[in-house]
Amino acid sequence: MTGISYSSVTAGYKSLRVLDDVNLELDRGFNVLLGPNGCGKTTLFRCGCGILQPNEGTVLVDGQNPYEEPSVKREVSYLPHRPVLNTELTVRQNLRFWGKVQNLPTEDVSDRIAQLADRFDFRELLDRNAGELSRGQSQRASIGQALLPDPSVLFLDEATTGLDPMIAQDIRSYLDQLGNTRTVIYSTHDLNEADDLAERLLIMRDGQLVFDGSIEEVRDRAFERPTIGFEAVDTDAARQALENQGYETEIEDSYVVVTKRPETEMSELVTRLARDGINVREVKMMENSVQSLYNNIESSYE
Amino acid sequence: MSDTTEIIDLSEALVWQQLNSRRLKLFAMPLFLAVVFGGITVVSISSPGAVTPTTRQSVQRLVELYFGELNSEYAFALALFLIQGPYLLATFSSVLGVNTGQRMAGKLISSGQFELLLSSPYHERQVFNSLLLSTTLVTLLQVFAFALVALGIPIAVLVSIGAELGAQLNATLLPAFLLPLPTAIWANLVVILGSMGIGGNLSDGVQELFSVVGIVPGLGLTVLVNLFPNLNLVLFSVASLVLILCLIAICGYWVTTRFHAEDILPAT
Repeated sequence: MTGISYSSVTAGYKSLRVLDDVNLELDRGFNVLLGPNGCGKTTLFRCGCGILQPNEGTVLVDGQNPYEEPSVKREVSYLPHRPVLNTELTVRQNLRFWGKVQNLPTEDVSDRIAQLADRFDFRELLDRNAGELSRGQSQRASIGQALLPDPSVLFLDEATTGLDPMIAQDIRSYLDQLGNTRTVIYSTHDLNEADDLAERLLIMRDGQLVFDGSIEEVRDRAFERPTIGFEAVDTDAARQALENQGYETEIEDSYVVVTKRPETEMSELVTRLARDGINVREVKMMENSVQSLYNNIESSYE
Repeated sequence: MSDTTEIIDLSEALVWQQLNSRRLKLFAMPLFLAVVFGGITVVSISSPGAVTPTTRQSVQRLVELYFGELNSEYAFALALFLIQGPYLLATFSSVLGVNTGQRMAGKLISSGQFELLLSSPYHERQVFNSLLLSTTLVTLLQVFAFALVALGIPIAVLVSIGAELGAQLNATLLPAFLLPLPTAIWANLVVILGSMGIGGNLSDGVQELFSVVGIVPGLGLTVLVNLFPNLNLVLFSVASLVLILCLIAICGYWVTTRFHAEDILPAT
């Protein structure tokens, strides 16, 4: 089974340093990479695919450097954030071209195209010109193209960004199972998507990895300081009561929102409000665990 | 697999992509150019006063040397066209090379497919060399189509009216027929470098300069041949070949030692 490792990797473009001393080891599973624009996600992917040579440090795929040993790049596939099909070819021709680039036997390519077309539901698109496809259709076909050589490591760069929410959900349903059999590194800006898909979460900022942990760790950490919303009959009174207890409050929709302190149980908070005469209708978590963690990290940089 | 094998394999895939995406459109421009240029040459030569007496005498000598005596004005025009043929091929090889190189390389880079090729199992310099080889091959295919019409038809017409294709034709013009290859390589090499923004972010106007630089060797040959019809064509052709090959070698050496993907990929 092939994994990928980054050891003290520093990389960039000419004089611009983008990645700064990144250390990371990934095995089979669905790894989600979060980070603001310009933090180095795409550069991380390019180093992993052997497109960019790190200025310092080493990237290894299955123990080999993909930049120096291009043959190991057969184990790696990269899906950029926009579909890269040739719009003057049909979908089938695009996949055949990619099979030729990868030096795959022709008869294997035809079988593989059929399998992927069924798996990602683009069989009816095979003989259509790629330029006629919608964004979602192109993305499904592009995922098929990326999986054509059956890579052990798959980089997906914002695969659902810019897609209609229904289509994005559709694409996610195809991606969900990929981590069972290979190492998937999936970058996204969508915190809900990260919460849904991640088995392991990586957060980058300013070219550095600031968090690396399993989704269970993320949820445990988030549960210590969740953001809670109280919907009360009298919103102003509820807000005042919570501020009297020393909480900073915000109003979101009809909810008074606070960050729970680790030393205070939720039930105790509700009891105190009731003692103050506040009639609480509903209590809910306002952020998912990934959102909570991400916001905590971002606020520590402000 | 050796380096050369890998470059050939990737080039084959890129040529396959071009042939399947453009199909007959690939030959539209060369055939159009052949018909238009041939027509202009025949009409202009046949027009009274289009050629000065001195030039006509020089050309007449060459035509008789290569084809024997011709009694038709149109045959004379076709023969003149044929004598220039190799240099026209070199010119159009440059023009088609610039067009094809910009189209293929530009489309690959702007669509993101070039980045995807860099992620495939080839070193970045193999990808560059494959791109150059494939664009050159497509250019030469177009040049062949051009030659079939621009030279093939005149030869067929001249032979049908009794012109003799002398041995001088082969011996003198053979070196010249080698010229389209290096001019095609040069044109493609220069515009690929321009498409990649080698040397930094270039404005559109500056990028167009790459196109001009790509065309200059081929165009220069035809201009010189027409300005100096008494040139020793063998020496001229050999000298031109050597010069263009030197330019390609210098440029190629620079690319081989200096080309890195980080120079052309957007920083993200």
